[in-house]
Amino acid sequence: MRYIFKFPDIGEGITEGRILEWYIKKGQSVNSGDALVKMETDKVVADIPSPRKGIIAVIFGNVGDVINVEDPLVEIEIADISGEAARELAKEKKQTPEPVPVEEEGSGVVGTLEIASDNAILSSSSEGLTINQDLPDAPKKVLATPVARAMAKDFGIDINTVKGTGPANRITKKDIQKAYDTRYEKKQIENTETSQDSLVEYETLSQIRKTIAKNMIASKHNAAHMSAFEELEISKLVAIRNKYKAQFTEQDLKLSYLPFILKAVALSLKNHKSLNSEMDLDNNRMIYKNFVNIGIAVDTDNGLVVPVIKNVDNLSISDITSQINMFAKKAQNRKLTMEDLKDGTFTITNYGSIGGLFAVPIINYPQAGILGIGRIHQKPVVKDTSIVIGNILPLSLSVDHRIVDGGEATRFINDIKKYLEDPVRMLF
Amino acid sequence: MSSKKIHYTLPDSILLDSEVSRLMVWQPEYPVIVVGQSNSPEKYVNLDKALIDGIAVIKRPTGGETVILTPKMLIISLVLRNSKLPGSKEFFLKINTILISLLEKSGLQGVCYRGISDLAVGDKKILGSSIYRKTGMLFYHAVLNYGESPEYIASYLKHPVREPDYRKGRSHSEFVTTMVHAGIPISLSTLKLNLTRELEEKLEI
Repeated sequence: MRYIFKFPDIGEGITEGRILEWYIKKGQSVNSGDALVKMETDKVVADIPSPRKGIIAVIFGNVGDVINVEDPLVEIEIADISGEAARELAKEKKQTPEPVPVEEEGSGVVGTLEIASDNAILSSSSEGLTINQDLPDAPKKVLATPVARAMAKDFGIDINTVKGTGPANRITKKDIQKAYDTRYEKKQIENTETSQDSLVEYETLSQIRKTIAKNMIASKHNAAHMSAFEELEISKLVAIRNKYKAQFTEQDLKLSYLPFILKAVALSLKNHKSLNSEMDLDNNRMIYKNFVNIGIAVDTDNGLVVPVIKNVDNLSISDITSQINMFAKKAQNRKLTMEDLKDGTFTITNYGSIGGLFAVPIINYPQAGILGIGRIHQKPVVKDTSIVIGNILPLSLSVDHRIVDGGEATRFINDIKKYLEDPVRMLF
Repeated sequence: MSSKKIHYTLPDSILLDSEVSRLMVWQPEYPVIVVGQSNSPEKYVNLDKALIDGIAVIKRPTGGETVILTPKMLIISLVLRNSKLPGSKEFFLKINTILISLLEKSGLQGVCYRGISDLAVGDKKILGSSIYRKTGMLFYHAVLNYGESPEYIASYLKHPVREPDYRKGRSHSEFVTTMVHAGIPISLSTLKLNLTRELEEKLEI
């Protein structure tokens, strides 16, 4: 019997994914849980495990193809069939209409080939149905006229990719001609693009880039962005970080300023609940979060990802450091999971690590705010009527002005300033 | 740095609101640094270390020096409500006598009364205590180091401004010892039970 495994929905709201790598080949034996394929979805690259033990009979799609959730991934030949599910399936199969013969110019009357039906598509879960290959009228080939089949062969067209418009969706020579014309036009366009190679390059959008584009536009369309900027003098924080940096290095951890910033932001969010909320217009209400989960925008070779550190207000600097280090590695290795990325209530973007000072960050909608961290740098500051060298941390806060008023945004920044300019205040 | 927000929030804080005499012998669930009423956290606590490790710092209503409480310690907290309360010195003597007797019965030898209210094994401290009192109420608070490493304590607490004579300038790691190291043969939970029974009986709480 055959089990057709469809691309499952592996995360919230994901509708499609790109095939990055096949781990299996046709004819290969797999066990339940063996990785079949590496898929790139909106923000996650995930291995899709086999739900069944068996032999790979068919592989659908090539590396680089984008497929939709519920599209078939593989057919697995499974040793046995039994149970009510198979009987139900057989019953449904019998109810499918018989193929209708079609005549075409210059052809004889033919057309009793078997056509694949939706019945061949099974649930992606391990509880899915199975198909018994021994059942009568088991589907095998697309329905097409001999002329169409011959034309497809001549034109080098894979007849399985052509949509039939004849009776019972049979493929006719018109369908093949249309497929050929479409392919020809596409080639013409590609040739034009190639002739301009020296001027521009074309690259298919990655899933991550598509998601970033979608989310950024959603944020700009839905939130009323307002930004505020501040400079903090953080010499005390610099001293503490320098004091403990070596200790963390011994544990193979990198102690940056970010854990302190996360902690300060988390404690400040506890005092300013509007910054830790979202607006639910559909239900005419605000949603205030009683937990503080902070996403950190991470710049990777593959695009922007935002892993979320949960309950930051309850974590120590050591704990936050460990989590940041762990997420940085996972992001670079494309090992982040949906669990790592979800349930953020506020976001921090650290462009300062690359060199920027100020920015106008776009809110990670539907969150109410995002804090941009600029590059720490030295410059003259006035302290006790003297000019001294200060260590300056630039901050850029963007808020959804529908939710957060200017005064609240400023008070929020003031709290962060209080904590970061005198870090031990975070203890009290 | 302001210390206005340093509130006493440990489990025994409920005793302060009790209208009758009550006793609690308890084990902290996580480490916390407790600053004496008149202590300034900056002077007594390695605050940046506490920040890095996420150790909370709070202030207690009683006097005495700053301590760190950990799950390897036992805390004796009691409130006496009475119109005729003993003097502080008298009460320290009374409760320490009870504790020395109990610890000896529990198999820990050589425990003695040192300084104002400490208990020590030889010249190494195993218990520190303090009192907060107001009209009609005496709140006693003692920390008994069953098994916490003196080095751990020393990493968070600075050398105190005032010290008992027998300390002689020694660091926390040289001055403090544990009951386990001193040879107590019973478990922390058994000791907790024994302390509760003995103090309830002897202090009639």
